[in-house]
Amino acid sequence: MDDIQGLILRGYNYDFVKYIILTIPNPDAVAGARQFCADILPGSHADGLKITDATPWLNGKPRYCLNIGFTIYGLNLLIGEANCASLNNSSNQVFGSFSAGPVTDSEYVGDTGTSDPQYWWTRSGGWLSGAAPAPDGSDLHIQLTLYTRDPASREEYYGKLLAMIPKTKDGELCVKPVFIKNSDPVVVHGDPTYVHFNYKDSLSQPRIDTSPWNSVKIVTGDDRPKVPADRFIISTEATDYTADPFLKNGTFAAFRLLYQDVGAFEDFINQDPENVSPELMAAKMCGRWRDGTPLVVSPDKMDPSLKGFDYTNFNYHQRTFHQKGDMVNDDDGLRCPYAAHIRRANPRDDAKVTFNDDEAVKHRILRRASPYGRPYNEAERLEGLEIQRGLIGLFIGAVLDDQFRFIMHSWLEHGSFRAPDASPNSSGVDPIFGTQTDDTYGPDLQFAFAVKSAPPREPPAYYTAPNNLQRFVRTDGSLYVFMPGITGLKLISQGNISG
Amino acid sequence: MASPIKNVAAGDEQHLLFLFVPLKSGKSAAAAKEVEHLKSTIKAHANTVDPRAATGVHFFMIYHQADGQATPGIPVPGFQSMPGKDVLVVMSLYDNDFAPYISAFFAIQQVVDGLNGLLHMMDESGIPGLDPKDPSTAANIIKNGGVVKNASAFYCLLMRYNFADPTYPAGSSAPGKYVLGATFPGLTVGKILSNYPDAGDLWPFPPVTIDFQKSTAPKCGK
Repeated sequence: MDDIQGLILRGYNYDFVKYIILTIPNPDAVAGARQFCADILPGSHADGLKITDATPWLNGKPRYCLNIGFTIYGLNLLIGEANCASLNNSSNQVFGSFSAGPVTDSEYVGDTGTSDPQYWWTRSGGWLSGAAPAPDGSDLHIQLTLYTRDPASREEYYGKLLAMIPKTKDGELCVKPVFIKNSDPVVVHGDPTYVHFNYKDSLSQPRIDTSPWNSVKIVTGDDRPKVPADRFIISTEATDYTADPFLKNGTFAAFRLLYQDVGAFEDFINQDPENVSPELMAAKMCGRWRDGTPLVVSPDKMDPSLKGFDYTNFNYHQRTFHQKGDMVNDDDGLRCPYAAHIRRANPRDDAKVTFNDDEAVKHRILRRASPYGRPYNEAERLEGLEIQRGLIGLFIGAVLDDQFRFIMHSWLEHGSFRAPDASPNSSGVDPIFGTQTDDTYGPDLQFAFAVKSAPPREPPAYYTAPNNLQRFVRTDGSLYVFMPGITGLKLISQGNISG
Repeated sequence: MASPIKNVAAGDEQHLLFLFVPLKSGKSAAAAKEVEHLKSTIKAHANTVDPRAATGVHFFMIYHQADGQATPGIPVPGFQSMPGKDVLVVMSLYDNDFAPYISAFFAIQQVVDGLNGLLHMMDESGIPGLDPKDPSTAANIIKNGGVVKNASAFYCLLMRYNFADPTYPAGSSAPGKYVLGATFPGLTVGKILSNYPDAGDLWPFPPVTIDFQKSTAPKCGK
C-alpha cells in the first residue's frame, strides 16, 4: 500500500485544503521539475513535504497530507511525448481520454455555454499568472492538493512546499504556481461537512474492495456493494482495460473547479412555496433532505436519528440489510425522483437505468472535493456582490470513460437514461447542475417529479416546477490528471516510464 | 390523456449504422460465417441475457462482398470494396448513442470472442489517413487485449468505416448527411418490450421459428 497515493483509498477529512496548479515554465525547467518530483517522494532525504501514501495511520493523523497529479501536457514534458504516445497506444482505454484532455472533451461532459473552456480558471479568482491561460490547457502541468488541520498550518506547509522548488540558472522557479484555491469548511449547525447549497455532503462514497484501512479498523453495518479495487487503482490484471506497468497503482481523475450559484438555486427552490416547500423542492432535486436523509428512507421529513452508514445503506427496489425507515419499492420514483442528483449519479439497484446491471459498480467515482468561498448570505444579492464560491477537487476513477465521463454524459446530462420513465420530460438533466446555458432542448429546462395520483392505485401524476431550471453549477476549470503510484512518480522524476 | 410526441431525448433516438469494413482478400465468406455464429450465440444465451432492450436494434442487415466483385442482381456497381480487400457491409437501425449500443454486445463473452475474431479478418493496410500506430487499428486492438479492453478504440475503429452519422436521429426534419425517416420517433425497442401488450409472449427471446408467408415482387421485364 506504500505504492498508492493515500487519497485514493480514503478521504482524509481535513477541513483546510489548498489546491495548487503548477506550470513548468520552459524546457530549461524540466530537470528541476523532475527534481521536485524526486524530492517529494516518500522516503526522500530532501527537506520539506512528502507525498502521502496509503499506508494506514497507526499513530493518528499526520499534520498534513499531500498528493499529486499530472496533466498530459505535464507528462509530455516530464517523460517525453514518445513515451506518452506509447502509453496511449498500449493502454488506450485508460490513457486515451486523459490524453485528449478536458478542453476537447468539454461538449461531451456538458462544459458548454457559460461553462465553456474559454472562461476557465480566471473567473473564480486564484489565477496567479500574468498571462491568460492557454486555450488548450497546455500551460497547466501539475496539480497538488495539500490537506491541513487549520489555516495557519496550511500556509506554513505551502511555504515549505514552495521552498522545495528548484530554480533554473536564471533564477526562475522550475515549477510555478499558476492557480491556487483554498478550501475552508461550510459549517451548518456545527457540522463542517456541508457544501454551498446547504446539503450535507460526501455521504455515499464507494466501498473499495480489499482496502487496507479495513485491516486497521473492523467496519460493520456497511451495506454498500464492494467495488473492485481496479476501478480506482490501476491494475495490470484488469479484465476490461490494459495498462502499462508504469500506470500500475496510479489512477486518473477529473480535477474540477465548479462555481455554485446559490442565489439562483435558492430562487428555484422557493418558487412555488404554496405547493412545494423549499426544503421539499431541494430534497426532490437532490434525492436527500439537506441534512443528508435519503428520500427513500424518509420521504416526508428529515430524520435526525440517522448516523454513519444509515445515510448510504439504502436501495431503490430491494431494501439493504441495515436500511432504516419503512422501505417501499420506489420503482415509480414517488419517493426519490429518477431525475434526482443522487439517483442519477448512483442508481444503486435500479436496473432499469441504462447500463446499470451491476448496482452501478462499474461507474462509481471517488469524490475528493471540498467547498471554496464564503457561505452565501442573502444580503450580498442586495449589495450586488458576485461572490465566488463552489466546489473544487478530484473525481477519481481508473477509467474516465466508464466513470467520470460516463456519469457526466450518460446519467447526468442525458434524458431518458431509464426505461420506463413516464415523467413528462424523460427526467431531463440533473437538476442540481441545472441546464447548460446553451441548452435549447425544451424538456431539459424542466424539473418534474412523481406525486401520488388522486385515486391512489392509478399511476403517479407529475408535478412540474413552474419556472425553468437554470445553470446552478458552472464549470470554471477542469483538468484530467494522472495520479501515479509512488513507483510511477519515481519514474517520472527520472524522466522515464520504465526502470 | 396522451399528447403528441414533440421531443425525443437522446437516449430514445433511433440512429443508422452503415459500416463498410475492409477485410482481408478472400475472407468475406468467413466473416459472414462469423456473423452468423454471433447471431446464433446471442440466441443461445437467451436464458441469461436478453440483449434486445440494451442493444436497441430495430433491424440489421449484413452483407459480404469479395474483392473486385460488383454487387449482384443490379446493373450498377452497388457496394464497392477497396481494391485488394473484401468488404463487410453492416447496416442497422438502433436506439441511443453509438457507444452504449456497441458496448451492449459485450455482455456475452462469445460475442466478444466473435468480434475479436472479426478484427483478425480485417485488412487496414493502406487505408488513407490511418496511422498504423493509432490505437484504434484492428491490429493494435488485438495486440492490446481485444475489444473489451479497448472499448473506446473499438468504437473509433467502427466509426472510421461508418458512413452513417450517429448524431443524426431518424425522423429528424433538420438537414442531415442523408434523409432518414422514422414512423415512430422515440419508440425504442425497450419501450416496445415494456409497453406493447403481451410483448414477451408475442416476441419471446430467443425467438421461436416463424413461418413467413411468401411475399411477392413486382413482375418486371421479360
